[in-house]
Amino acid sequence: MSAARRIAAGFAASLLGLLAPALASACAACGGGTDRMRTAFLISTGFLSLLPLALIFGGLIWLRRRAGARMAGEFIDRDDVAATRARTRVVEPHSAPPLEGGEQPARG
Amino acid sequence: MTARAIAEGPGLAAASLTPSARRGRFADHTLIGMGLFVFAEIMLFSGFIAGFIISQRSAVPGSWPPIDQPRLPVASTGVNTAALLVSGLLLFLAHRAYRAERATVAARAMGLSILFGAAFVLLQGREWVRLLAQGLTLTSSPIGSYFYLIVGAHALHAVIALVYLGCAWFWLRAGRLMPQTFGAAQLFWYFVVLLWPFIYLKVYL
Repeated sequence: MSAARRIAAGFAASLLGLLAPALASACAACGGGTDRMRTAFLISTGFLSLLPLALIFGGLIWLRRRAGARMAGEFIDRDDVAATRARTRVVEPHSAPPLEGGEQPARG
Repeated sequence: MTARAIAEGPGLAAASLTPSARRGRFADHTLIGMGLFVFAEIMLFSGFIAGFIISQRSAVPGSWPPIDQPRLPVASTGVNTAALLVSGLLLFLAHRAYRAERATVAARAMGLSILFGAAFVLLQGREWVRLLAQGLTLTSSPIGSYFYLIVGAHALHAVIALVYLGCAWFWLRAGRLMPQTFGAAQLFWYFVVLLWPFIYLKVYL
């Protein structure tokens, strides 16, 4: 079903619910039972929806705190090119053994 | 021919590493894995308790709990709850001693924590035997079904967590306990300990 047809079907269903509210009350959780049961459904739905979000958010905060100190110097080496170059120097090996046949070793 | 970079700095090995390698991991895989498991189990028990609450509220007033079913032992389970909470506190003290590199004190506290946890499981088992003898079974009523499902699942988690803690205790005594292993065992036991008061409040009271 194309997106346009899906939207049209949703609109028609909503219109039908408005025109015949008894049909919309067919849900046993929302339209049936006692107030206590409906309240229990609503609270449970809200709790089970929000709890995983809260756990995920808390986990991200915990990871962020643990990573905060270590990530502080993440880009120092990359940005401080001059200091990095001063600390690092390339040394050519002087004692490379000669190759057989008098060939010169490749320089790269 | 190869070019060899000599690093001048605090350490040859450290300076030759990339920045990300030098930074190291900021969260151990053991802890993350246990955290994900605990997250899944929290959602599992949340579903159980939500179902229990809805069934309880859906019942006809005065019919929950059913009059022909034995009442849950609130007082004795309260004592068991206190034992479990003490177990959690002792494990926290063991963790502090472990971080202070006082292995003997940590092992003693952890051992006591395991004993209190085992006492909780055994006493709960004794209550189960009594309830079964009095007629509360898995199929006798909805409250029986929910009780054995929720409390049984918690007991299963408690037993597995105790086994894990026992292994950690042996490794601690042998001087081979890794911080991440201890952290994961703690996380699992804290989950078992902190979940129980919610179960006690909703199912028993």
